[in-house]
Amino acid sequence: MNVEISFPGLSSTDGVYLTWRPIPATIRLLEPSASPNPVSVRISSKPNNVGARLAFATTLTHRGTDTLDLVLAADGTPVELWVGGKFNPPDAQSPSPASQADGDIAIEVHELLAGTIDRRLGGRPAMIRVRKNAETLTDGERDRFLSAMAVLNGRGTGKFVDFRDMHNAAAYPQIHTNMSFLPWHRAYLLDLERELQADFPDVALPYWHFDHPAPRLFQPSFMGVSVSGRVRFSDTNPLRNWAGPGTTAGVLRGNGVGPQTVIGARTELQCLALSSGPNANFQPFAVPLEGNPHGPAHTRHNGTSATSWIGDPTTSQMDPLFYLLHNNVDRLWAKWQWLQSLAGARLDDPAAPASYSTAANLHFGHNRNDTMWPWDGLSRTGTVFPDGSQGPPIGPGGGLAASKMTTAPGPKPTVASMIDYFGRHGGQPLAFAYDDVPFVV
Amino acid sequence: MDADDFGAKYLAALAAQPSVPSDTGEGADEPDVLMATAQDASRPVAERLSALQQLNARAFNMIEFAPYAARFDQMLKSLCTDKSAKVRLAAFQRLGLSPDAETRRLLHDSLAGTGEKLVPDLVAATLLGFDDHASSRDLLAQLAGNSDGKLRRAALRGLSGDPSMAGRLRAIATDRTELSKVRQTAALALKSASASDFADMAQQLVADPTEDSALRALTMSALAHGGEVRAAAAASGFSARLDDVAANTMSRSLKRSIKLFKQMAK
Amino acid sequence: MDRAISALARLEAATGATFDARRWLEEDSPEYAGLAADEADWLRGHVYAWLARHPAQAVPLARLREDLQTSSSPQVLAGIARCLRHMAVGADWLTDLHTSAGRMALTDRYPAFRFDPPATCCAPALTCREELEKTIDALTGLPGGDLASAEARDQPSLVHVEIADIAAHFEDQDASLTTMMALLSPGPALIVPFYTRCMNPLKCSLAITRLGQAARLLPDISLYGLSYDPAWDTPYRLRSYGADRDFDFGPRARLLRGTQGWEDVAAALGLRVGYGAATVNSHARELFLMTPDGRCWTLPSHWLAQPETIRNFSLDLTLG
Repeated sequence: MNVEISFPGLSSTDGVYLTWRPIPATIRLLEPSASPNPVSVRISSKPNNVGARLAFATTLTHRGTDTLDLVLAADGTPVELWVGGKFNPPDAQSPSPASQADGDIAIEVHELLAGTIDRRLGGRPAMIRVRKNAETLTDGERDRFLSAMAVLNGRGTGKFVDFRDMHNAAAYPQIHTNMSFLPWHRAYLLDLERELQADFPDVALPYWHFDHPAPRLFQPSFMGVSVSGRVRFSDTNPLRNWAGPGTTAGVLRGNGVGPQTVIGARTELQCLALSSGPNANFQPFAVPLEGNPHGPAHTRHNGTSATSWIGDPTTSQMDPLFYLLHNNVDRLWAKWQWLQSLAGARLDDPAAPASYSTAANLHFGHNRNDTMWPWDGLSRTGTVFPDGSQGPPIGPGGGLAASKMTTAPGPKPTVASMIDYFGRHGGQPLAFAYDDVPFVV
Repeated sequence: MDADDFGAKYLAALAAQPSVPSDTGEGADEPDVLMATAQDASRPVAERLSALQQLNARAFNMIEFAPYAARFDQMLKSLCTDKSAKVRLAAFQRLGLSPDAETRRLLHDSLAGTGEKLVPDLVAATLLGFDDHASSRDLLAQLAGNSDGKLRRAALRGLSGDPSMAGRLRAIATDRTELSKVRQTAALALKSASASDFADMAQQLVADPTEDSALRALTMSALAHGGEVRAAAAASGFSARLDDVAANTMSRSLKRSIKLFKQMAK
Repeated sequence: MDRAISALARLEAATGATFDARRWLEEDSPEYAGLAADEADWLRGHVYAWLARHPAQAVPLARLREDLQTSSSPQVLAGIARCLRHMAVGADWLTDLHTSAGRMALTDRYPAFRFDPPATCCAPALTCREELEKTIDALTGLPGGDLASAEARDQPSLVHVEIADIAAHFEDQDASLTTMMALLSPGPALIVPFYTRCMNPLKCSLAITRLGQAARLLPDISLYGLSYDPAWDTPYRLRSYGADRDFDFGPRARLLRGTQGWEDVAAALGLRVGYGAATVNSHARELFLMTPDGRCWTLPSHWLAQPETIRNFSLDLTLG
């Protein structure tokens, strides 16, 4: 007698990549026992070497338990359960309480006989795959991420160049200094992360926690060290292959930020306090956030005598560090959404006015229910912004990449579809999370 | 600590957070003032460079900076021939992010020696080399032949956008009398200039245990990570030969890249 | 850049009633050979500005409009703005002028034409956007219809070439080899020249995207993208480029590069493309329709956004 654990959209051999937000699964007896009696089972998880484990429940909740007892019908009728990573905030003792490798956590199923665990009936390896502080990655995680980035960049005239061309001068007025700055960049990062995961499903995009020093990040083994305006990578770093514009190898970055630099912008708490309490609102949070700390995180690299792609918005995306920078900006939004929601605001509910701008008739692509350029395949050259600048033509890259772990947001994401990334308000989750932002129902 | 406790702790920290001053920009100089400072040759160089740094930061918000963009560009060009080498360098490094014809002409003439030496040759070669249309191909090809060290490597990198340079790049990459770093640079440039040539060369290099180990590791990494070169190598049955290579090397980097290649080439 | 400056000097020295500067605007003019892309733009912009000072010279309006619609070069756009102020054009240019000014809104630059006198406080230099806005002011209120009616006047023209004589070979995104006549054997073919390194989002990227979109409305017409840059645009690059623009590859939808005789193809079709040291330095937006009987038409490039117009034209050819 054994059991099968299934997840929607996944085959029996597909990897299972979980976040803090539980997803539904089913369990059933695979080879029904000869007896017509139901079978009691205990679901638990085998933790990894840093103690990260899964949480189980029969409904969508953030209070799942380490074990769950279920009764399985003898005829193999599936029983539903909810499975997610058990949230533990990172701290000095345990800076990375999630998975560190694919399948390092497993769902375990044991038969229960008179309330006591008996034989093992089955299991399924899984991974708690969340976006982590780059400083906390193990060497293995770091190297897998770097390889994934180098492979994406190594497609040459193709996907990476598309990501470059989605963020150039022509695109600037569409995606910056307007309401959709945060949701657009969330979609952009999600698209890139899913492209990485197509070849490296165990990789999640790390973030650069830019109001702290980053001694591991700014090393030749990771994002490199600026030497006379050019980034030096170690001989074994896959980013040695990195070609920013798609041809010439190398990254131009100034020496303004090093391993011990604190960039001197708004701190995390200051960002979270930009608009707080039960009346917290998107606009007074998002607008100043773009100016600071996002702006200084880009420009601080310039230094006084060095060229920096990352210091110019039309070239920044050619530096791999750009994606870690923006991931932290997005994390700040996610954290603010969570924290102020605890205080009573509804900041991750796409239907709630406070979760996004309520201004009427924004330019196409910036209203709550608009699809976003370039994924919608529509031109914005008819858009003229107040300063006279023009929107971009049809952009490259096709639709937003799919994920096996969710059907959301679809190839043509809307602004609203980026707001409730945990799927707390009836929708599907976007299948990403941050190590220090929990899911709370 | 669970999610609920974590949230309570954060809310308490937030409540204790002093009120956030808004970014009014008070105290920050207007771009016109900064540009005047940057251009004022009577000011200390450090002040002028600081003004340029502030202008670069202000220029990041393209919409707010739009009224100043043309004058900023014009000012930077005027600083390209400034008396101070540091000011010239800062100007070129800003303009060099997206150089136009005039900027490239000054860099070209400085590097070729046909005009005033405005910036170090390495800076000029690096900025001219980041061009996927290989516009400065002729000068960089010349430098690749008659210079050495970092300058030569910068020139070689700049040839990566020209398929007609493939033969030359391959010759350097396979020349055992060349320094390893030079060979590695030429190999990476060849990867862009001609994927088929690179794939062919790389397979031979990787399989040869007498070859330079750093070069073998780099070319194997490039094969593993580069979509087109990997496809070309896989099509010629390279995977089957890699088991021997992995078994006979002590290089962890080489082994790791071989493993990745086999995974990606499936 | 020295070559561009020398070319400009030759232009400025040109005199005589028979001198025709129109050739100086063509992408494949020998004046542009070997220049970098930005040098070619610099020179072309100066040619337009020079034409503005020589109103007796004929100006090819179709070429001028094409550059106005697609260029982001401050010299080209400012030069065109000056030209238009000295020509008897109407309000149908306003849409394109506004759009161009919008394109330069965040990246405005001084064109710094070499033959302009030094700026003074009474006659300050104008930026590219200011030149465009000055022209907008000059044309506002004038008669002249709108862009749509102006474009409606553009018509296909027959290219005098015997396609059967083009002994060129091509390779597609799957490395399959073919010939020109083989490409035409299933029926009429729409051909869009392009290259994957084109940095102008209004040209090649948009053209291949639109070519792919046209497939649904043109089921009886083959769709081929033809690379200007065959040495660089390998099958792998062609496939990546098309895939990222939702180009649905198939036997009648292919991206191609020349493997033999490419120069003959370019010459036969009169492709409007110029080359620098390593690759393309300038090209127009081009669109061709070829028929199995060996005829070839140049179509107005804006028809690619109106595939039903192409369908109707192709049907007329079949029936006529």
